[in-house]
Amino acid sequence: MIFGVTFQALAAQLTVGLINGLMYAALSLGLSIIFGLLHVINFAHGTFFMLGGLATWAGLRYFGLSFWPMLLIAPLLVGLLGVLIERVFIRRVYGKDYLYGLMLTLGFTLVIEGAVRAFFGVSGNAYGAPPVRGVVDLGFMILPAYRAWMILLLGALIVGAWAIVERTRIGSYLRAAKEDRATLEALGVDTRWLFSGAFLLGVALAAAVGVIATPVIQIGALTGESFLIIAFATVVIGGMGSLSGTIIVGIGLGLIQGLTKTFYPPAAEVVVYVVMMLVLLLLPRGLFGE
Amino acid sequence: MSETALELGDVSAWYGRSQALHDVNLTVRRGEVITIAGRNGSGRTTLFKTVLRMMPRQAGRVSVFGVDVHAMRTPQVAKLGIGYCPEERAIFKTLTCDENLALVPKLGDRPGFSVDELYEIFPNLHARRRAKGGTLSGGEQQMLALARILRAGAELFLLDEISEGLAPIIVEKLREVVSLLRERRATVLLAEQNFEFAKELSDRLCFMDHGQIVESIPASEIDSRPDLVQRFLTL
Amino acid sequence: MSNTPSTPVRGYQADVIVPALVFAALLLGPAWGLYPVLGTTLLCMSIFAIGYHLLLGYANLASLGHAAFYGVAAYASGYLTKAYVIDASLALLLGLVIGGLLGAVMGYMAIRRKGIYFTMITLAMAQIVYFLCVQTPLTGGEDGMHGIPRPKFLGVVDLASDWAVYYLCLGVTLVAYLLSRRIVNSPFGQVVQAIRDNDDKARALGYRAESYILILFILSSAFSGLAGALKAVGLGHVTLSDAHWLLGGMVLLMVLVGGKGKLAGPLVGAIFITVIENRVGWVSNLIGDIGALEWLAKLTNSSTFLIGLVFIVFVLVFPDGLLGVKRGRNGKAVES
Repeated sequence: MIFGVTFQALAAQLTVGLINGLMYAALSLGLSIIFGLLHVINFAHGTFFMLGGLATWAGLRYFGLSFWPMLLIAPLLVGLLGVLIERVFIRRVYGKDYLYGLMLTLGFTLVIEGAVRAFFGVSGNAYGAPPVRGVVDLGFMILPAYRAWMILLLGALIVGAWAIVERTRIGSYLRAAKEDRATLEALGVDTRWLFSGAFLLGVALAAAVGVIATPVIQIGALTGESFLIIAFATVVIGGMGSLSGTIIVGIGLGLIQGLTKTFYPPAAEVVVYVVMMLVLLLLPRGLFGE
Repeated sequence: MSETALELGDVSAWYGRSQALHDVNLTVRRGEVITIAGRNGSGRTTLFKTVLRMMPRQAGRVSVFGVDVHAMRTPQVAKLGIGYCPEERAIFKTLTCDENLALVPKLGDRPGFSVDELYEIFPNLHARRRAKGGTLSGGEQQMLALARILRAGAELFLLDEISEGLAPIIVEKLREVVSLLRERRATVLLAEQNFEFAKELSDRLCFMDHGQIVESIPASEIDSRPDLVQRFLTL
Repeated sequence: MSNTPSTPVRGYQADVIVPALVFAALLLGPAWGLYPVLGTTLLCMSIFAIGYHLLLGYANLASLGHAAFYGVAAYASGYLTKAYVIDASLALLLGLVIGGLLGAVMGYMAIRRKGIYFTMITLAMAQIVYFLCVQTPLTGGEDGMHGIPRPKFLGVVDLASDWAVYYLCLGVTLVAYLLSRRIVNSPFGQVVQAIRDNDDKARALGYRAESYILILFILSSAFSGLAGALKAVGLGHVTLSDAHWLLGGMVLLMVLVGGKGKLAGPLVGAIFITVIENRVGWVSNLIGDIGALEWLAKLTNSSTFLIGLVFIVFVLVFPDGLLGVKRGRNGKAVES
């Protein structure tokens, strides 16, 4: 027993915390990619997460599509919606004060959430049985098999997204545009497509996380909100320029939440804000920021 | 195939309310090497930016290889075959040397130098090819900036102060490269304060002051006009 | 001549005529069928927005934490009114003071940062305060605080009728509006605007920018507290949504819709948004009669959906708001 809590209980909470942390990391990765290049604060990010989950649920309910194909289909569909919104609406606020991007994307959040609420009701929709049943015995704890899968899938998502930006040719274009857009244009590259691409990547990432989360949480109109704020906190704490910083902080926050949940459950959500506030006051550029 | 590489007709440009170029007229034939000489603030960088349509506001006629560019965005203008080396070198610091080279799309019709050829011309870069741009020295950055546009197959080169602040041995290398370009009948505009560097390479010299091209003389006559250097280049 | 303004109302009209018209219309509320409860609601929001605008319009700081001041002041005055039936004027004063004190604490920390970081700090603080509100028993938690009695105002005025409450609110709103004008046009206000337009120059002239901005923050949080107290006493109930950051986001929207830089802006914006939020059913019923468009009726019945639409339309079509001052490239005001 540690501080009056069994090892099993602690391990269980930390596992949940790890999974949450991986979700925060993946979500904030998308936010960071979008903000880094477009300088737009995408308040609609949580909504795309929710839409990924909704698509998965709808896919099963109305089209009989099982979970695994939705991992590809949902991010694609939601990503395309995102690109549409970016090309038609968001591009009009490029270069303007950050408040405009914030308000515009918040507007889309409300519009989409309102629509979902109008047609599907407020309370969440349960997905049903997770796609992988059974458990995994780790010796010191028993883990539901799907949770183990979640860790793998989320990990792959994070590593994949990071690699796309940091190690591929397309990624070098994104990084160059982020650094010096004017020069890149003077070298013959039309950066408008890069902006759309970055937005697509970020949004698809959020939707993919939504798909993975669907079997374990209720997907309702407001699901995105709490994840959104924490994802923002992650980006800000990690430092707005650093991708790896975002990943580390996301996982860290999830684990901190897990710990808090074990010893003082009511504070589990607010502890993130306390950390965010402290970091912002003491470290102006965040933990790893540029 | 247009024999005129660049033509500027009554071109003006503004930064906000301040006018940086006043009715500039210039015709550059294919294969010419021209030095745009003048002090800081005389308008040389603005001239280059105006050709690429990077200015917040500009007026007048600009045509590149016979194509009028007034309705184009900067990347489209660049793709007509312009290779631009900005004053601050502007290589991408978070990208490696290799990545910087791979980045630039094909500019113009002719193929550019291959990566191997470029590493032959700039052996120092080969050693640093996996290093991030931000870790390169000033000279290496300049060479990379130049190598970039050579890779892309540009035919009209706008080189802004490439010799500035560099060691003589590197300036010598740059001179080699410009000569090489000249041999290949590329068109080069050099914006320079370093008169010695530019003088020998050029066919013609244009002197700028307060946003206008005030004098334009063939290189052969430069020695007989010491007053020009006095007037436009010294403090 | 660029004659397509991004704001429909300009100059003198915005400064004098619009507020005069608005107050006149509000004064004659009963005459044209205004519901007193709706009226009270939009007046509370107006006071909230006027205070918020002081900070956003004159210090360029967008806080997402102002709901903390509104909510806490509402809970505090609500509780004290319930427990001790204190005079309404005292409750309002309390709201003002609580808002100001909390603002002093939060503002002192938050103004160390600017821009997006400032916004995030205020958001974090608001969430912490929200958490405390949820945890504290006297707020009533999820159920909220209800049945707050209506005390007399200054011991004399009976507030039992909804219209009495409404006119009290109108009076307070008018005072708040005039006060905001006084603040902005005072020497203090001039310095604040100088800091906003050219921070470095103002500092070079010897002004301690931080002190001025902190005072502005406290003023705006005090207004928010006043609005909260008024809401508690005037409408009789306080819920968690009064302390939730989204409320602050709505006020931000109100000020942006009304327009920054013109003091009547927040007034107009608050009224506009509150009416949309509360009269949602009207549009929906209109459309609902057309059978084929039932889905549209469903959508427009959602106030969330409509408010979201307002956000989008205003950012894209009227970025400077209904009355706002058009900003040129360098952020400086461009008067025509």
